[in-house]
Amino acid sequence: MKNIKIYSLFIVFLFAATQTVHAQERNITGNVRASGNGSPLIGVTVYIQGTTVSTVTDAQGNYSIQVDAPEDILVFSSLGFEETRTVAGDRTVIDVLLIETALDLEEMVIIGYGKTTKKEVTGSIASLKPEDFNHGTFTTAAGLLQGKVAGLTVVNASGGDPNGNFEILLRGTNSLSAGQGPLIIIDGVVGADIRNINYQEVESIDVLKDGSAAAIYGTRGTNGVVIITTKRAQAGTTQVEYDGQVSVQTVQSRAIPLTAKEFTEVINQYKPAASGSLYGAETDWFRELTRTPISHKHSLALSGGSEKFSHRTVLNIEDNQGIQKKNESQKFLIKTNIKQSALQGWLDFDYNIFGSKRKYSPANYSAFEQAFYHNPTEPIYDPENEVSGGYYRIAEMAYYNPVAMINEQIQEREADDFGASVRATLNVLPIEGLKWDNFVSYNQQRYQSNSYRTRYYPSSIGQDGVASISNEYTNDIQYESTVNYSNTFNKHSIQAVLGYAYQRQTGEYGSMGNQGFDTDDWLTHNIGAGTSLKEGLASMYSYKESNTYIAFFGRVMYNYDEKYLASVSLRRDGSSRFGKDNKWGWFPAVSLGWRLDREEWLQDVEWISDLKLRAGYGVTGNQDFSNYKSLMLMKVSGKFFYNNEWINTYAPASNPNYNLAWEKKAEYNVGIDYGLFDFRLRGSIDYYYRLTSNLLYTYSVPTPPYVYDELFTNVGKISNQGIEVTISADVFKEEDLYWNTYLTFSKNMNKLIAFTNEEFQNGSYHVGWLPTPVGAYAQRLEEGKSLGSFYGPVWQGIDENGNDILKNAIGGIVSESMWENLGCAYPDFQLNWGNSFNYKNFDFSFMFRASIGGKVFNRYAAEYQNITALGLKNIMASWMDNTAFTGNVKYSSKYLEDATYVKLDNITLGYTFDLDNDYMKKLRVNLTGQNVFCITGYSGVDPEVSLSGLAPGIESLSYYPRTTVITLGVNLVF
Amino acid sequence: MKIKYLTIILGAATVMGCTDLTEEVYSEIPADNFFKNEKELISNVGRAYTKLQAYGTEQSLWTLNLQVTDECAAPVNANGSWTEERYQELQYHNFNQSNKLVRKGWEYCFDGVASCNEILYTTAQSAIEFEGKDKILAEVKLLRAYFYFMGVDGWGNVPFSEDYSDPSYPEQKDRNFMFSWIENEILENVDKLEQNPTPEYYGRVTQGMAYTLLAKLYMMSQEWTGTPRWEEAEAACKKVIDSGAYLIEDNYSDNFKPYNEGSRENIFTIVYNTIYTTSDHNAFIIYMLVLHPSSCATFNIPATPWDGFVCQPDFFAKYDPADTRRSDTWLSGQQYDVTGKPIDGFVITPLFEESKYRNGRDTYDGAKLRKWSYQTDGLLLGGQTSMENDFAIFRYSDLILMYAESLVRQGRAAEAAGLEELAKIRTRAGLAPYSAGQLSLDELYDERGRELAWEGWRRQDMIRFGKFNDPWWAKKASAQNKKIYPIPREALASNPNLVQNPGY
Repeated sequence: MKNIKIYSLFIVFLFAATQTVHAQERNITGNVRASGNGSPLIGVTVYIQGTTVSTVTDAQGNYSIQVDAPEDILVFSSLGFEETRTVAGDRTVIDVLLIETALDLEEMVIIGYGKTTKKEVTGSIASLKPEDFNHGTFTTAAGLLQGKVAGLTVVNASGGDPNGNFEILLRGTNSLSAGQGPLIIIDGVVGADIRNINYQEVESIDVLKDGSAAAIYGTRGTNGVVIITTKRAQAGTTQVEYDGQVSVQTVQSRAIPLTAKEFTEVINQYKPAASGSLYGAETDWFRELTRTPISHKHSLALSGGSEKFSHRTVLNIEDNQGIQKKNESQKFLIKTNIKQSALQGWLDFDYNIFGSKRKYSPANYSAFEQAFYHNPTEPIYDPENEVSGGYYRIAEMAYYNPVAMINEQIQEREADDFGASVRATLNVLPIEGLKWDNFVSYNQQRYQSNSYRTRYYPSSIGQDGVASISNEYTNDIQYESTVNYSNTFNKHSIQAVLGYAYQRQTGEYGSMGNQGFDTDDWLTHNIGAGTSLKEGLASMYSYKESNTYIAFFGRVMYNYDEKYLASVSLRRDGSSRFGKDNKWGWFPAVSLGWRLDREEWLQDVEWISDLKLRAGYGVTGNQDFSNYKSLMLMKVSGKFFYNNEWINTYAPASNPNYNLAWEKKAEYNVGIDYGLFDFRLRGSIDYYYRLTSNLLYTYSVPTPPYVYDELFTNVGKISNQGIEVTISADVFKEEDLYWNTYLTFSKNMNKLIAFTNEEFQNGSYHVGWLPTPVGAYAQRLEEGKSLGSFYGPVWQGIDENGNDILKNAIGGIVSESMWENLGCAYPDFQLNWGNSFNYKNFDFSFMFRASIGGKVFNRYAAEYQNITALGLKNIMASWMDNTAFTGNVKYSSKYLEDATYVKLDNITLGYTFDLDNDYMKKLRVNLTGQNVFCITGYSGVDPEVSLSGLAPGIESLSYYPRTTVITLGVNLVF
Repeated sequence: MKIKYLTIILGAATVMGCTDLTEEVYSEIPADNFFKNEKELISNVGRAYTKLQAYGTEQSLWTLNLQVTDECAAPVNANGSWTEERYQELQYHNFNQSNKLVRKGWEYCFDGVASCNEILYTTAQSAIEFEGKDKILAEVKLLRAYFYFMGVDGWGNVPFSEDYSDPSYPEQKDRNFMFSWIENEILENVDKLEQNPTPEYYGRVTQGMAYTLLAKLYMMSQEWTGTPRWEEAEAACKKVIDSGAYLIEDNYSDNFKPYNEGSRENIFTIVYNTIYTTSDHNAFIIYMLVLHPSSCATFNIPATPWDGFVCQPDFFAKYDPADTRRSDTWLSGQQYDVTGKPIDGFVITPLFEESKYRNGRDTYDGAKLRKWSYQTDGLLLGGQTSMENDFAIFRYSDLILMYAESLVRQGRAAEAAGLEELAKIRTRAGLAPYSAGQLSLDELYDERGRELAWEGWRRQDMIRFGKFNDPWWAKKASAQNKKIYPIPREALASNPNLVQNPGY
């Protein structure tokens, strides 16, 4: 009886208790939608913070969840959206609008030795994906970047040369004599050759612009780092992709001389004394040298596999022609990337193997120069002339028949590259977020160049054929070992890396040359038969060098609640190139970020989707110069007649400098990343200041006591500061119509702060030598001024005798002390403006690139816009616009012109077909025009000249004409 | 225990390997691995002689000194080439510190001095002894004295340094100081040198060379220090004459032909060789600077020369038509090909108006040098291929003329007229020997011009005879300060101790 009472009381109590629990427990329902267009969101995870209670929204975006207490916090989380929390309170229905984190913030950004998301980045990093790249056809992958990143200048100084390379400069010129281009990393291989990848295979390019991001690369990071990642193996069904392009070129810009008719008229009217140079023929030398080139490229990629084993293999074949006859290149490339996972996820392997062969016949740039000034009334051939081989020949200094130059020279070059790398990652599964990564890579290149000039090649007539063969073998071994740890607990998130890197490069070079062959049929394949060998006039050469590079580094990235971000890194670097007491250096960096949009007081401001403030500081170095500069080495010097025979003498190779040390660049960067109106308007603004100290330069030293008048040593400072602004706006973002426009603006100011110290007092150097007939140094390196500062006499007009009037001239000559600062080669600022449209199945984009300000020296005008040269040589057609000038050439500001230009770099129209079958998944065709037109006031060939080096802004006489390229492409995915 | 040590060693070895940054050199020799034996020492010392080889290149002290005198000109040619201001500046005596040839001349002298200093220092450091070590070191000291002599001759106030191990900026010294120093150097070292020139000593510094240099130094004493030293000059010349090692050759051109090693008139030569001194900085290439491409047919020369330097018309006129040296030195009149057939239309006109200097001369205007006769073996290929002819800096004929001059300046013209060698110089040129009355300073000045045309001493002679600032042909009178060149801008900039010469 008593027991039953107790039990029932207990049961009632239990019932009551549960009833109480049930009384507080309730069901909350609601609907989850996207804030952008209000569409319901499927599959959103809804859970109660701190518990395991969770559910998922259904196809209508509805959910239902049990809540215990009013204080419970409901969390709504979905990939691509901002995580949202709300307190349950007394409500039974809670509807939520989730804000899209535009793929922007979640996007992966590759930073040195790791990756992170865009929202966590604290340095100044530009990250580009395939949709951001330029369209069209390029000689190397650097073309994809042209005009896309504020502060990154990609210059194509070689025009339409299919073997030309792009010149890359980031945030100004930071060094006088060490290398000035950024470090290029391709798939983890540091300093890889950009020609060995197929640019269509590039998956992302990340540019580490400021010191805090690049410091993890220590001495290699001074000029920024460009990290290129190619498409990786992917699990999934087998996919076959084909990409084909056919392109044709026409000449857009070149130096224009007088035609045969104009030549005859000008001589008869203005320089009758030269009428002996009128031979009566009509030759267009430029036309004789060129053709309409057709190039095509094909790329086939296969990928597929499972989670445990997948691959991506690419086959790439290219045949490119240049506009100069016989100038072409072929490329064959095969590359495979394999991913493999073993031991139940403990080990991951990533293999990358490639082999490539590039065969090319290089252009003869000086043939274009000769074609320019060759007499247009000269016939091409002269069958009576046996010595010249039937070509019309006037034997004068540096005056050669351009058709003979092209026909009588055979040049074949071949480069065989091979590379293999393995990345083995040990995932320490018990400890979440810890892994140990090892990377080994081997790259080698074998290069051979065969060049044969027949007995009729104009500059070597009389030598009976000149043959030369040269070889190069270079290899590069890298090893990297890093331990990575990343974890999140509560609101703290940490990502750390600790590592060691080793790299060794070796190069072997050799060449041989001989002359005097009985027949031209052998070309270079019987080089021993030349008679010069027995006469002692053949040549042989070989050389070998190597260098090593070692580093220890570490970095910690931390964020609190994704609101406050910090990153600290330190690198200890050593390079064999420095003096024995200075081989190692420390390179620290720190950067901070603050995501304002995550703050409470900004949560309500709807039009701000993302606002991040960043500030960073980092120190990097530069070791990009030749080997052995710190040593005292003896090299073979001239010959000395001793005891009736000629013996070798030896001399020190250079003035030694045992104290050769690092150039150090410290950089401050502050920036704002913003995303407004749901990321419809986004971009960033950066301001930076970089100071390179211990500048390396070849200083003039007095002889005696030094044996040579130059010493490569550290003295001086150079600074660059500037602003970069990027704005990208989605003007229309509807279902059928999408229009994005972007603008980048960059301004850089360069200043050579000092290059004197107690030991080296020379405050000013003359650089930029312009040879005969100008015969002057165009620029000076001066403390307190920018690099690329032009100095010269000021031109004031032409006098009645047809001579130049120069300010402060005495007897027609202006002494150097009266020369003025005429301007700087660097532009005032650079702007890029691009647009892309999508309408139904069509896509259309175009991009303008503008450089405003700066000066360029017009060498063609200086040397050929006068009639002194007329007679033997042709002159510029533009002289006829100003026939009052009949004097000799004098260096002055007359030939220094404004380098402002606006170029329509790229215009593309594409169409993607709607496909409805099992075989083809995607078919797209496109038509692209590149280098379409250039708006400029410059009267020369192209104001876009080389901006690197110590004497930027001077146009070269030997150049490759600028061409407009039209490409038709097709892209198929099976 | 063993395992622990093994791991430590292995660990240490790996760490060492992991952090080893020593350079490996394959194609050069690290300096501390050099100077191990006599052969290496000689190959280092011999380098001092190679510094002389730059004399015959396109831009060097020799071509600089040619342009400022009355014996050579580089007018604008018929094709509009050679308009560079640097040549006109030199011809008009308008040169300034930026002139490229002035810089190249300076570099010739002082690169030579610096190399000699370095060689003396490193050789002294080496403990290796060999026979002839003292002699060869004395030769290097004489070469250094020669380079300083040429430097002081050109620039007057020069940076002075004789110790390689002292890296401080050299002080600038004037002609008085340098005169004593050079004189001392020669006198201290002359006895260690080889006395007589033997074939295996060809091209090396001998006592004859040392005394000739001393004689030249004394001859310039009045100009440089204000004190005339004609007696000492006479004594130095006598030392060379009395050694009996040299004579005046029967044939003038034997001293300049391609294989002129056998000449007993050449006292000190720069040895050139088409195979061994062919390079872009050590080759003797006067053929490229002088000849018109049409002359290639005359000499079987494959290269295309630059047709620049000519003989100044007034200088050509100083030769008596009977003087065989005129045709030995200059090409003029109708030209012939290798077989002796006249070339159609190729007639060189040695005399032309001075206005053509700037406006451009006609195609074949201007007598062309042929003194160092051009080898017809077809091996002269271009701007880097050296001629075979050795260039005599000091020639016995020069010494005899100096001896005669020193006598005339001391009022002993009769003795000078009685010199056998002086007579031979005249008779081998097809002219009558001098009588005492004919032997005036002006006559000696002209004779030196004809005998030693383009051999590199005209400027010094013009200064010594007081003719350097006179007007001639296209040049007007020039200021006195032009007798020394300006110090090149680059040299001033790199050494703060140097002060520019007056008037520049």
